[in-house]
Amino acid sequence: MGISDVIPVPVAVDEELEKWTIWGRPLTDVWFTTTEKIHEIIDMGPIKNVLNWGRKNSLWFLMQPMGCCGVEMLVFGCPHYDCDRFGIFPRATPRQVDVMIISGYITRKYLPAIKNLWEEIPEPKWVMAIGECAISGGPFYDSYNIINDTSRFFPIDVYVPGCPPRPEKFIEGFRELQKKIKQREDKRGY
Amino acid sequence: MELLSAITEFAAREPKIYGLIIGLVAAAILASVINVVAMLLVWLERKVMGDLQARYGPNRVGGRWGVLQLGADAIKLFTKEDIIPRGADKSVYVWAPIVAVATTMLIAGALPFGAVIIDGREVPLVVANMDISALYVEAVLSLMAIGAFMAGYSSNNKYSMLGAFRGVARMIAYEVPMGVCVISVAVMAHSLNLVEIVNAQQNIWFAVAQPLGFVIFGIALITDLGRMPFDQTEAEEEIIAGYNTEYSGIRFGLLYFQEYIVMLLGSILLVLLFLGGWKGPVIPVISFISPMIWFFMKLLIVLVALIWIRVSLPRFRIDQVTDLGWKILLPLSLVNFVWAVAVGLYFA
Amino acid sequence: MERLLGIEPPERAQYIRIITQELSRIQSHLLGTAEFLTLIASAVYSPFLYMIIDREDVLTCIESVTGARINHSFVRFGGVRNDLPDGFKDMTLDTLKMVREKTKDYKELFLSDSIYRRRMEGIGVLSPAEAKRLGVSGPPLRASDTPYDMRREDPYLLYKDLDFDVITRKEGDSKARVEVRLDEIIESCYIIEQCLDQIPSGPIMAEGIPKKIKPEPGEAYYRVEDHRGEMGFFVASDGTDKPVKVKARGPVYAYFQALPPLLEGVYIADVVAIAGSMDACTSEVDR
Repeated sequence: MGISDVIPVPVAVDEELEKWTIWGRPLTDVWFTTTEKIHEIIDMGPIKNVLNWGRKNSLWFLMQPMGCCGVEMLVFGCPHYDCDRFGIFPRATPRQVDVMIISGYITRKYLPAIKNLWEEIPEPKWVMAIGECAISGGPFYDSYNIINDTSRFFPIDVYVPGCPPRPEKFIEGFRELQKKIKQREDKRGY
Repeated sequence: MELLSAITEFAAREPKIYGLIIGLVAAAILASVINVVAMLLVWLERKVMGDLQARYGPNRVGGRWGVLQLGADAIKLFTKEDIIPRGADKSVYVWAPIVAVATTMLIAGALPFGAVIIDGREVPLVVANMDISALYVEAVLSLMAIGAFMAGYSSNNKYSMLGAFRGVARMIAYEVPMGVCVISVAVMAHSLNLVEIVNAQQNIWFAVAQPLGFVIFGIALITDLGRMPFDQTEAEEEIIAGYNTEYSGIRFGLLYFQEYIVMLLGSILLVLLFLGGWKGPVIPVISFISPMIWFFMKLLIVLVALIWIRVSLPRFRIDQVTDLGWKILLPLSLVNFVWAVAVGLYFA
Repeated sequence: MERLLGIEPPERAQYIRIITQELSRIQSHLLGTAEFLTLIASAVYSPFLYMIIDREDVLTCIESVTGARINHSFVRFGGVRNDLPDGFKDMTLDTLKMVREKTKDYKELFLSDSIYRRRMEGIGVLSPAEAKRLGVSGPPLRASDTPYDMRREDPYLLYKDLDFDVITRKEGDSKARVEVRLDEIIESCYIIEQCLDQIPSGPIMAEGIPKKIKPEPGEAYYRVEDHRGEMGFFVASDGTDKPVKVKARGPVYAYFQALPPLLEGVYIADVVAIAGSMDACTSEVDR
């Protein structure tokens, strides 16, 4: 399909246009396009870099502290550590966040609730596991009502070990996530 | 040159269409300028808040001052998934942010944004210089609650609904004293035109002439803006995020951004009505823009004061807010009105 | 556990335990009050952030002894793991002086803030009888005019040698609960200063603790005054190196039992004011 099919222009224009390329693809391919094609173009081109630049610099996280790492999560947003420097700040509603932090043990009773929260977050979204309890169960490893391996339920991108990790480690974790987003190596492939 | 003459010819031939086009262009310029300034305002707020709280605020994105932070936020919000909850009233849900922003932009048309001096004459920078602009702005300010109410009502979420209820109750309680204050100013200035009101403050600011009115208008304005001691509509700890709990992506971005546009325009209104607008001693070398400099200095002071209030006061309960509005501010604003009439008559 | 083994830790170890416990009481109360402030104000309310700054300084003191900020794992059977580091006394005294001044500032601020007082006075009144019936302990109980403090009732460690007041308030409302907490910070500062004056030199571990501990069959229950109230530990042994039963009784579960009668018929905005002033840590309940 060429331009001449739609508007009355000489066929020569079509032939000329076929030689033009944009990001290694013929221009005519891009010209009349579908949503999928637009997504393809965005995925390969520098547009994606711009998008990811925006996303990685504005990671809002869900203020949903659990366990003692939640305390450090609170401190993470306060002076001395100040997550706002990196454009990271907490929001209360899952609809407006990008990152969910699992900051403690998940009991069997709490699992459905937190799964629900995760599904309420709009794409693109990431999840971080912070603290021993979230990674492997920590001191509650062989407890009957604690989920040991949270990665069975969530595609976790960054693990931050520690019991509880210092707020500096939180910053480090977020920096790792930013790096992953920039290099497009995150689990869900944005 | 050819283009210019073609345009003049077209203007002479079709004055109505020409006026329409010029109006649209002016509106587009105004809207984009306001958006950029409001964006800078969000950044300013985060920086000033950081300074007040022994933090830095954004300082990584876009150089040392973090100026591009808002750019990153905007890109992210634009590309976020757009969720319309099941059970939501779809059309109302979709239109609510647009209504919110549009009603806010309506105010911008009637507000003068400073003035420049050309040939020794002050030329106010205003898109629509109406005779009743003060009344118009006051009326449109109360329209803003509709956008928030639409958002809260259509979300099918109890927290949103509570936020919307609170917003409307608060708006009703505070529009009355605010209106009375505007009328007091108009009585003193003998005009409802904002440009005339500013001109009437050549010798004495209305903040000095009626301090009570200034305080009441300030409180009512903060309430209207939904800033800190009065931000019951989106009290994070009580009702999650109030009327925008269910909004995501750019729809939330619009609602979030609208608050800052209103904050900017409300501060401009306060400067115009009570702080003498762009009046001030003429600065010799750059006399051409000296009114603009005064205007923006006053505006900056008001904005920083608003941010300062935000970080230093706890939140009222909603019943205490409406109590304050109906039982204290309304009688006081009437007292101020009587005072304004008496002083106005005495000097007239 | 020590009660079960019949070990008495040396005096210096007991003083170090008191110092760290009171320091962590200060940080917990600062955090509790700060968190409560975010509830009635917002997350950008400045005093909240100033309290966190103070807390960081206190945590630095704790960290210099125990090496961790929150989970210390510091107490050993028959003593403590580390001795106080060099310069600890000066640093802690400086910090305490600062904390005391700041806390007085906060009290003044809350007294003079009319919005705060409107929000807090007469909200969520818990009567002394009701509080006792529901098993509430710690600051909320003491705010209801009941001088009940484990450090006084059942003195453990060397608390009986130290001079301190049990802070109480008559009103029993949210404001009183926060005030009790702020006053206890000042009181804890006083206790630590005494400890730092009186602390003797000596060993920090008792002699003759075996590597593998096999207590005699029996039971032991030990109560301490946690930051949030009465904390009890029950250990039962059958003579092997693993306990038969360990049970920890936390104070927060009782707080939640106290909430429903308090929350009947109040505004939504008051819910956060009441629940926040209890300083209830939800993850302690969800175990």
